Amino acid sequence: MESLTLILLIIALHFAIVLSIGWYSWKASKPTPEDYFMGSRTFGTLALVISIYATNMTAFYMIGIPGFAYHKGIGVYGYVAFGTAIITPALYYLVGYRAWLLGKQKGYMTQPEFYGKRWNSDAVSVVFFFFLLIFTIPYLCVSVIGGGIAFNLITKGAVSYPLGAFFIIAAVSAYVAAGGMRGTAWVNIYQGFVFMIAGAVSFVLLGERLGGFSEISGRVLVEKAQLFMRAGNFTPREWFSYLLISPLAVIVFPHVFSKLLIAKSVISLKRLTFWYPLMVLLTWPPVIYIGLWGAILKPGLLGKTSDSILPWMCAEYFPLSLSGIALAGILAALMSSIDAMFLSLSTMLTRDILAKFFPHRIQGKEVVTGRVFIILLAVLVFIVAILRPSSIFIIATFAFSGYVVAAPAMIGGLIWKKATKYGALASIGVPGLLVPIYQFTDLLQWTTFGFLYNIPVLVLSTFLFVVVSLLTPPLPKNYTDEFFGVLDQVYLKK
Amino acid sequence: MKGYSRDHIFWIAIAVISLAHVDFWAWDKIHPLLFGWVPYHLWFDGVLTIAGALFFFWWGIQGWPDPPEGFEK
Repeated sequence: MESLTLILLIIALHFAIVLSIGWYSWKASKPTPEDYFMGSRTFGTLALVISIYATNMTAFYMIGIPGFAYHKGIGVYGYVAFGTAIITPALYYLVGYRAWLLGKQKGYMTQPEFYGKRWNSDAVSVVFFFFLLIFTIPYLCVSVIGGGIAFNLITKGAVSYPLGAFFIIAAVSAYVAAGGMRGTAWVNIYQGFVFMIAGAVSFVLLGERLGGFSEISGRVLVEKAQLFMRAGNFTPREWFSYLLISPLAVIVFPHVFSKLLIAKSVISLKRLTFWYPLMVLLTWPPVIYIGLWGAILKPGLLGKTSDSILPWMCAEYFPLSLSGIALAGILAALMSSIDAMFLSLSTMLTRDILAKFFPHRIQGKEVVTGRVFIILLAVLVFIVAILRPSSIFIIATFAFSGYVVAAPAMIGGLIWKKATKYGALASIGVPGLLVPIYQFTDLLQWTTFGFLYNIPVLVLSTFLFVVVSLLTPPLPKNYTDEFFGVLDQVYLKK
Repeated sequence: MKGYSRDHIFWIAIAVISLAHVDFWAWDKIHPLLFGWVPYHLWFDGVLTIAGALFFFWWGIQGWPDPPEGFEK
């Protein structure tokens, strides 16, 4: 009982720290939308790198990946993480740098605003908003579900799943509503260090307690050699599919896009591309190995029940006090994503919908409206998390699949001046409707040719973007030249 | 190379690293095991990841076009 109190004290301390940072950033902020939603775009290398990395690492990473490795083995690194390590930073250069230049010059904050201006179209703006909202809510739920599971298992049932989920939602909505982008980014720096250190410590200590890395991994090799193999777990076509899915989804994430715009200078973006792969390489294998070891220490978990393997390992093999630190690490990873998603959705609703369509009602009340929306969103996410419809990996993959649909319009809109709004709308609208059909039925399975369904969806989205753009009238040249002015200045040195 | 076409070098490098990752010719291979517990496909991907990071470092110095003077202020 005393040890359980210690766990709760550690978690209370963790929550107190994040709430204090949120309160302090509230005091440090100015009451303007630019400061609340974008932190006045003054974030240096450390803040940018750690907060973007922490934003990307969700329950998918801390809970879903060990659960997936439990069934699929070590190949999970190459399957899920490699694309994130290499193609994601490449897209930070291709999309992030261009968006940063334009955002800094023209004050853009969100994708709906950015692409609405790109094509001078409210329709594009509204479609982007609803599209991102629809696929971000399931991804938000992933983190809350993961937090509820971790709380429940590590406290050995003393904190129930719904209560754990509630604590997380309540704490995050409080500091995001108070601190805005500045609070979120500062809290993310703290959380990033906490989960990276907790992950590394858990990996090393678990390895030692289980007789050493060679010993426990050798047991896996003898008892479940299949988990060391790729053959039988993944096909090369699935491998190739996920290589694209994960990074293309990341660059569409509204919470990542917004964070790319807050860089103070280009140096921070350059350093982000260098450090990002190394951080993936250092932080993913530990959680994958923990899931792998769990496969022989607690065999027989089916489907979504394997999501509990990392918290179970911590609860089973650590003294309760150390479990408290592991739980703080898990919660740090989840909360650092939930907060950024809350803020980005709130920014989009306020800026791109309310301020555009109800300007007189919203004027001067943008920040308050954004805060109220965060609270309402928190209630909705809590309800869905309680229903817990599927495994974390499957919900996250569904969200990724949706995000990927918008990638051709997002990337193409930045590199092809002749792309039209009709091309963008067709490329998002039609394939976007196919995602649930692929996900929940077998009707279109014959179109995948062994790839994951994201590949035909991506091909269709790209095809529609290009063909419809070629068939429809582009914007006047002077409008496009004005929009791309700063990019031409940079790339063509005009 | 100048202008937008300088990015061709960037994307060729990313494509080479990414395609090397889809090493279907060694799909069944797990040996040699590094340290006795890291299978071939994990350490191979680790090497590619480090190569990618070094490439990004080089690109940041040599290829990445800087913003106009005074832009960041």
